[in-house]
Amino acid sequence: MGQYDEQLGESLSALMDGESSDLDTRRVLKELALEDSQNAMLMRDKWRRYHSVSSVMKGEAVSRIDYSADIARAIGDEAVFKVNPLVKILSSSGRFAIAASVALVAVLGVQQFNQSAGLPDDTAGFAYVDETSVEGLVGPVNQFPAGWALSEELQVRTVSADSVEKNTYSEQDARAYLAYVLAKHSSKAPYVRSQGMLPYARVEKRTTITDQE
Amino acid sequence: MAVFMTAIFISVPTLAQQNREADELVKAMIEASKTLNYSGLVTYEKAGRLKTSKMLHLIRENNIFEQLIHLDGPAGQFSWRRIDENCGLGRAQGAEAGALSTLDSSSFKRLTASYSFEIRGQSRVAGREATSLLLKPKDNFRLPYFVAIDNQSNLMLMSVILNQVGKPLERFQFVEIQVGGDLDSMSIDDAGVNVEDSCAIESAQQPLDDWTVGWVPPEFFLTDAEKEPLTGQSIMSFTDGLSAFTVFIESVQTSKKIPPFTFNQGATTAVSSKLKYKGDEFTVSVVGEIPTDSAKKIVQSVGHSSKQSQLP
Repeated sequence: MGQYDEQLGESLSALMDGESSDLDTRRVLKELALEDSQNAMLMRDKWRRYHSVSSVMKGEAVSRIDYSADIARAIGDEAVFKVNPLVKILSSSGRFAIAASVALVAVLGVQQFNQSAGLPDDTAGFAYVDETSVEGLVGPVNQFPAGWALSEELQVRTVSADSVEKNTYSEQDARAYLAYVLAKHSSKAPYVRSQGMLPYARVEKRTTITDQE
Repeated sequence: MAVFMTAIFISVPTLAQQNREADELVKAMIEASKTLNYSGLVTYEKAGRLKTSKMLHLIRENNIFEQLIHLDGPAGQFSWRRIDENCGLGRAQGAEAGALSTLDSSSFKRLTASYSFEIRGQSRVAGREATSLLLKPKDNFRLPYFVAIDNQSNLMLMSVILNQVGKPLERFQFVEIQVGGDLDSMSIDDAGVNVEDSCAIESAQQPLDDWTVGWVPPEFFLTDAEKEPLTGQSIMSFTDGLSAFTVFIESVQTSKKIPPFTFNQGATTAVSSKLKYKGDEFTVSVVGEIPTDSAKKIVQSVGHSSKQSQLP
């Protein structure tokens, strides 16, 4: 037995055990395709024997009659139902029509949605996330809240006479002050504009005002 | 062709007509905010964040009761009752009278001085048909507003503040609103609620005697000025009838803790700077829904009445 035959035997065994790799399966199928080759006949015999042994071990009935050739022939004689090319085109175009109509509904839906918003500009979009305010954050500024940018004058000041004061700015104080002025401003705003209480929606929590007052 | 042209002329309202309609709509919105009881759920969106609040607005004779409860995030409840009587226009000195309350008849004149109104079609907000309106600033010192006004009640259902190129910065929007009905007879439980007398506030509309704001955008006027005796903090509030900003001047002691900064989030800008007066350094902060350049210009204009102050 050559090395190839040995490998073929192992592949068939693996296929039988359900442990074959893709390579094993391809190798076996390739050899079986050559129906009249000696290897193919040997493998069919081996396959049949393996299954007979397996059935005996499991206590199942084993038939001596080989139906495989008859079954193969019966399948070969089966009438082939050919698909009319026109029907094929129509059926695929039908699928296309469904897909197209779904797409059309989606497009119309979106258009209608946009129209129903009635906004000529892009005001229906989500509120703008301001990225520019973060761009300027370099060095020690990073310790301050998002949206902060220290003024240029601070850098001027820190290299001049008051450099000692530079270290007195803490993140905590800065955050507290910012929260305070924002809350205080929002609490003033209702008196002076048309939006009534709405500016209060800007305030994070009540304590930001009272804590400072 | 002639028929076609005639049809166009008939169907398209003239510019003057549109302007008139827009003006009437703004007036109706002002009136509705002063006379109607309403409650509802409102969303506030800015910088990619969304908050939900419950709002109640009741009018009882000269009293306006308002309550806003945050429904998500940190708990917060704001209640206010305001006695909104006619205190006599022109009583206040150094500040424009009648600038208080929500909006009054003079508010319309103020708004038209700073903004032009454009109807921008129909929309649907909180399940109600609404008319979209753009309030376009007449200069670059303030921000545009895009609002939706309920066709039925004339209440403002949505308010979007845009930046100067038309991108939304923040949005208030009702998702559900109830107008009138049971609210008209609902009793006000205002125990422990802050009560503000608009007359008392109006009398406080006087500039502070020590600090002055040298420049504000045209049509902005002082609405409130106060000095905190304990901390030495001075606060002045301004509005053009729609936008508002607040000027803070911190004490020397507090100023030591505050770095100069600029801050932007949503439509709100905060600019803080240092001011030297008689060798002491004060922090001047401007916070408001105005462009950053306007806030910087206002900060730079703050000085001491004695005019001895200077920027460091």
